[in-house]
Amino acid sequence: MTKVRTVIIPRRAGYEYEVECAQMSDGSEPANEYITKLRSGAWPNGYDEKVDPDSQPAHVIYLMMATLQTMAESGVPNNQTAIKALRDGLWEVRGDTSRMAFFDVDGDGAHASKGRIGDRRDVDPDNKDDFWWFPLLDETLRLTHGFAKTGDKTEETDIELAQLIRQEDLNND
Amino acid sequence: MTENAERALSSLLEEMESNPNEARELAAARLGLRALKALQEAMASSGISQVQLATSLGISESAVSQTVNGDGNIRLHTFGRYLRALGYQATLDLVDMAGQSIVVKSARPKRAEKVTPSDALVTAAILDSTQVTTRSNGVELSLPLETATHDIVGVRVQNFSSSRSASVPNFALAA
Repeated sequence: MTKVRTVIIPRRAGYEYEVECAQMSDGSEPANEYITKLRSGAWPNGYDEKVDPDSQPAHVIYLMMATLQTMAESGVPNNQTAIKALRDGLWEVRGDTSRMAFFDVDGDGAHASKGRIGDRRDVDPDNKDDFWWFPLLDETLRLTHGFAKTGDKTEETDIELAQLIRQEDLNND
Repeated sequence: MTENAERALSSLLEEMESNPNEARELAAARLGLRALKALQEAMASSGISQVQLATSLGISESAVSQTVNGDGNIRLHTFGRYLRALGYQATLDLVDMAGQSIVVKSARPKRAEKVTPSDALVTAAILDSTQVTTRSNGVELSLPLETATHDIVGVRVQNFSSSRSASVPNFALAA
């Protein structure tokens, strides 16, 4: 039985990527739960013009959504700091104080680890953009979960959780 | 309907776009990220380091770093200052939600053209004849000698162009 994951950004003609939520074996989607939690807290009592939207916890979601949309459309992040390679084929999209981890899968749902390219000489000479360090990922990006930024480095526990969610997602594909 | 087609109708992004509050937040985030990208591109193109930029702006390097590596939610004046210090400036273009460019036109009509030395030369030629006739788009004006200079200029700038969309180069002179 094919699982139906929550689609964040659908694949469209001309798009480089589609974005969806990874699913755990029990069918839960931690990334979707994180997004829903932030969205529901955006305007708990309806839209309040007296509250600065930038101070709302939810604004980080829209930052990350905008970054993911740019990646889906163009194949590269919006700017040099919008995404970051974690390790073991895991990446994170960044939005102010929040992060969401993700990995890529191909059309058959298989994952092959791809990290940040460390040396520009390893890149196709025709690739002259500023994102040479960002590899060509497979066409589907799956978000594992969201978490708050606590320091310069991503917490090991969050990387391990992302690995666990990815493993369960791939096992059940 | 295929699974993909069903998905395309119910993505989280589309759900957000259909909510006016969330659509505004997405628009704000996109604009901020675009500004941040422009800033980072300006830094890369200029070859100016964060330290040099901080010195130029008279602020700390950490403040520059926070801005350049932030989420793009920077004040317009700050954005302008940074870009200028890097040797750039930004322009703003408006497009509607369909992506069509919006051209903001001035409500005030442009100042009428003044008579230039070249106009005076045309006038001198006219004064050698007894009558001036202009023809364009089926409109013919015959002017007596004593009023020709004034009216030719007037027709050219105002009457001709505004009432019948005739253009100056089409007019013909007859003796």
